[in-house]
Amino acid sequence: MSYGSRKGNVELREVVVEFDGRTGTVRAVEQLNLSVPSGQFVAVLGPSGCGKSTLLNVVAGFIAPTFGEALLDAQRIVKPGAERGVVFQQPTLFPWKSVRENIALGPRMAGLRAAEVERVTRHFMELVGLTLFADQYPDALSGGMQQRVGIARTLANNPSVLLMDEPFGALDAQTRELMQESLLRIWEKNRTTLLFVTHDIEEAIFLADRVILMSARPGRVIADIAVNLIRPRPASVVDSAEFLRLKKTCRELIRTESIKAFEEQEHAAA
Amino acid sequence: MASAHTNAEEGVLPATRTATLTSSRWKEVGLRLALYLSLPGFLLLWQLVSTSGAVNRILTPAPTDVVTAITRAMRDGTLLVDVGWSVTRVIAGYAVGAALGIVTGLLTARFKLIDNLLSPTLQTLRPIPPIAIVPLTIIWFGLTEGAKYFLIAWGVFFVLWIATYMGVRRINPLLIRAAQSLGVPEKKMLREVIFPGALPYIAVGLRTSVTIAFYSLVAAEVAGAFAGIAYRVNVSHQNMQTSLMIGSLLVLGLISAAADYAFNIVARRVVFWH
Repeated sequence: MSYGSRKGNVELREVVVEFDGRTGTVRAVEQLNLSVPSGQFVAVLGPSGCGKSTLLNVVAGFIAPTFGEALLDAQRIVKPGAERGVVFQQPTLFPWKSVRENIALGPRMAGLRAAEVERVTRHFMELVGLTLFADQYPDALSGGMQQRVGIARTLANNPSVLLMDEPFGALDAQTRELMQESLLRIWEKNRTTLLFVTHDIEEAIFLADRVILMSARPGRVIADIAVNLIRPRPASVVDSAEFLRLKKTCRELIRTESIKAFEEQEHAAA
Repeated sequence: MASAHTNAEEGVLPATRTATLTSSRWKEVGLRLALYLSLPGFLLLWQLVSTSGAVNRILTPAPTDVVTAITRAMRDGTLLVDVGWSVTRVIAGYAVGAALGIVTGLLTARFKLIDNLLSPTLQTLRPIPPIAIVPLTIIWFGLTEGAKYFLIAWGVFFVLWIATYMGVRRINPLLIRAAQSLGVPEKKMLREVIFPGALPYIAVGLRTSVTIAFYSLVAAEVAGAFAGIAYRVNVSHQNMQTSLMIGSLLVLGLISAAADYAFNIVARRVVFWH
């Protein structure tokens, strides 16, 4: 296997994740294989509890797979690291740090000189439109603004992979749409490998190059769908015939899967 | 019929409302008055009872006697010396106890080995009231300043140990994950996340233990000292200087309240996000 000169190739091989539950061992992810080449925007789509967040946590290095392995640029992932930036569902900003200090943390830890830290911080505050709020503390910001800081903070580290776990899930519909568009704008500029977990079909298709559909627990890949919509992607793309076709395909696959899961539950209960 | 009914109601309603407003205003004035009269009223009553001849004025001196006694202590310098000794003891014991408590709290909350090694012993010692170990401190340190520092530090230590421990344990685990993903190395985690994350709890512990420090101070000075404000309370008791004793008690309360107030202000500025 040969990797290009660009970084950010993610590889999951036969990954199984088990948790110790109250009723014994629960298998969250079942023998998952996934290969994401550098620069691809991949949406991981599935119902809640399908193990898609678990998958992301494995790549982030927060949890170790029970079997199999996760690799970044042929290096085995064993712990969290700055080359894999994570944006959580909740903004998880440091409440005692201002917007500027939150964004500056990564560059500072990377050992950049003070002037360079300042330059990078300023750049990413501008990118997410928060320069005027540089000295505000997270409590004073709206949910959408906090999440923008969360994204800027991660980007400021120049990671080779971005991992986003339903980052817009807690936002209201309007803010959510604006955030999706601004994420696209930012991503289309630097094209980092991006793994984006969501349960929203439209969000997945609107953003990604590729949609990975996961089954209900234990999570397996049930479909790997290429999204060949134009880039840069305009907001109006959601009205295109191709978008609607993809949406229909995803919905039907999820529906079949949900019914199967539901019947299995009924069966188990009976 | 219907309209007459409505008119009658309209005629009644405003009058009722006015009456309610007036009575609530009087109520408010009354409540305020009670608030402002509380302390002067108490002092006046005390003065009247003490000077009436119904009680022994040496055992129950009037507020004016207390003021005289304290003014005298101020003039001859003994009050300043007493306050100086007491405040020094509280500051020294408090600083040592708080520093050790915070460090121990951070270590036991972060490292399982240290937790297992220290916590069972500390949990066994913690419920013992500081006052109860006074005799032991005298055996170990004699009537030295070290004994007083130790006793005050002892009480403060446990409050801060528990407060810091809880503070660290209640940090949102996602904040730690976020920090790891941003490249914060383990050895910098304490400074960047753990300590500031626990700070709201530590601040509460610091404030609570001010009171504990003063309790311990009283125990230490009553047990054996040669100066100090609680020592003065004890000695004036032996000399039947009841006025000086009451005056010293009030000074002690005043210092303790001032320390608490100052701490509250500092805590609010340090833990501004909470």
